[in-house]
Amino acid sequence: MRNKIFIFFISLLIGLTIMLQINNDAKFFTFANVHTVSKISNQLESSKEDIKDLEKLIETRRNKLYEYKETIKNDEDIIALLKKEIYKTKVKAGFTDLRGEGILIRMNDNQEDTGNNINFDIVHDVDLSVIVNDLINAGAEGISINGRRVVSTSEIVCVGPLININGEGIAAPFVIKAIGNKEMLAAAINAPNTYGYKIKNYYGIEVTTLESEYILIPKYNDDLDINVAIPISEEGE
Amino acid sequence: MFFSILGLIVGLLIGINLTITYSTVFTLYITISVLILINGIFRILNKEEVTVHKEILLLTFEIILSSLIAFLGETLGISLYLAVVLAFGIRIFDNSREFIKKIIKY
Repeated sequence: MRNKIFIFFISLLIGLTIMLQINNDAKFFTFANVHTVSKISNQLESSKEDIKDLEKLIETRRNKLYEYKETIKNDEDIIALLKKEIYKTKVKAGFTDLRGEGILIRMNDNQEDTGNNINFDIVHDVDLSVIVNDLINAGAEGISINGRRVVSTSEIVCVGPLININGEGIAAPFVIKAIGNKEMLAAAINAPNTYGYKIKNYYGIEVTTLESEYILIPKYNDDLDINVAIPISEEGE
Repeated sequence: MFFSILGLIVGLLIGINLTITYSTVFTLYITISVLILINGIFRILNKEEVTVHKEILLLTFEIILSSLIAFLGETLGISLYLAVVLAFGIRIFDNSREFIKKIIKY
């Protein structure tokens, strides 16, 4: 009898392990430890934030629609309203001069004779684009480099001794002007371990910032040509 | 033999209803353990006299040793678990052949 119970239990163990193994490979059971749980909860958080943002977007769109409807109902001048909107869009796209508080950054090549590779001493296109990105990240609302407005299609490309911005070559020294919260912008360039701090202190490139209450940024003079791209309306036609 | 089939069915039924999950790292060791247990059940079914504690000791020893070999293979980057699978696969066939012969004779 003891033997039979023993045999029974061993067979039970075999069946159990086989079934567990099959179940474990099945799609609807996944192994979960603390790490995966935290990962999934993070994903959930970010999805929730996305939903919140989308809800906000819906709200703003609804408000705008309501505004339009009200103007039509009250027989107000819808053309004036649309013109105002066009002007706002132009300001955002960079077709108007801007002024406001901000900072002015001067970048120049390392003038001392270090004896090192000369590539370490000059300002590259990469340096400029990283600085511009840092400024945008710090909340800059308008940026110009040597009087060339940085807009959505602006390139910052090395062309030998010059750097091309908006199709025009400019040479060192570079003067970057940015409008925004001046403390934030200055911190984005001067704070330890930022890119500006690194090239200033490790490579010896001249990076000087000047905070000002009155920064003037010129408008973008060209057209934003769209030849290949086909716009898709928001309704999704 | 009746008890072994009964146990297998009960085990499968319990296994279906349990929702225990484990990391895929252990898949190898579980598979090896299943092989060893199948080999063990055939060996026990062949014997006339079985001392339970000795069989348990033997099975445990086999599982631990083969898991160690598989683990060593994993860490060294060689598929050493194949040795275990081969050895126990051959022994399962040997033992099952004996078992079948025994049944046919009866």
